Amino acid sequence: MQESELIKQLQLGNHDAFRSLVEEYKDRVYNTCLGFLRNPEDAEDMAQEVFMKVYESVGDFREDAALGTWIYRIAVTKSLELIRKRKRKKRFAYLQAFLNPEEDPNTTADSDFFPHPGIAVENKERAEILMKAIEKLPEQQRIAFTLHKLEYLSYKEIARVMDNSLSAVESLMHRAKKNLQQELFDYYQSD
Amino acid sequence: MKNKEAIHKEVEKTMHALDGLERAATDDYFFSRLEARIDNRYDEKAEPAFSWGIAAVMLVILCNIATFFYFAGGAGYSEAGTEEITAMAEEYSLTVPSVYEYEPEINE
Repeated sequence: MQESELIKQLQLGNHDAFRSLVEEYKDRVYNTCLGFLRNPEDAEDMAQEVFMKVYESVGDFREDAALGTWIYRIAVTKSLELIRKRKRKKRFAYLQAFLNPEEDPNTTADSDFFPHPGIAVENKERAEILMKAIEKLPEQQRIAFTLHKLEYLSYKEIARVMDNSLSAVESLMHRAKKNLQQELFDYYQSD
Repeated sequence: MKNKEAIHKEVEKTMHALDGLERAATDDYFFSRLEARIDNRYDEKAEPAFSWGIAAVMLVILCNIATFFYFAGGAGYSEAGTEEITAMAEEYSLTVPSVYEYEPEINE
């Protein structure tokens, strides 16, 4: 089915069209969410949220962007929203712990490293170090680097997802690599 | 302190740790779970949610109905009650005589 026809059918509420869309994009969405959230349950939950959003908003979808770009955009936005929410919660938990020292703040969600299932066994240790360094990147650099490394999106595709120019994405990737090299250098130096 | 060159080598190796990574995949039941979740959400939306506004309006309407029936029931006087009032008015000479009841005195 052509994309424009698929969009038309989705807007008409065609169940089969929605099913074929989910089947086509579910792994890309799940993998993207997993890249940001680093937890399989959260990624599954978030992937479902993404498709629910698609289901509810496809009526308003104007074909300014490709369907895939729009879906990636929702996946990235929603994953980052959850991360920000968790960070706020964590700060609040620390504040509570400060005010009430008998209670320990819950830090398990961030301290546990989830090895991405696609990482080769021999790379697991290094991948963990790199993933932790990626988390420290500024948000825009992190989005660009994650989409490129985990989803193999080209800079052009990343530019469309991030609603940015190609040169802006190239610059983001360049800075991301520099920052990661510095972060890793500091890590190995202090190790 | 480690050799700078060795550290740079480590950094380069680590920078490529995600190369060749395979995409993580969901299982075959993802769509079924998604469908169930969508149905649940729409069922929840279909159920009327409790609203304080609606509750307040209902309470005002109920008060109005109760007040109406209360006063509508007590508005009519019973016959016994009317007789009692008339008797008391006569006893204390509270009745106002009508012009037609006036009997002029006749001087003989």
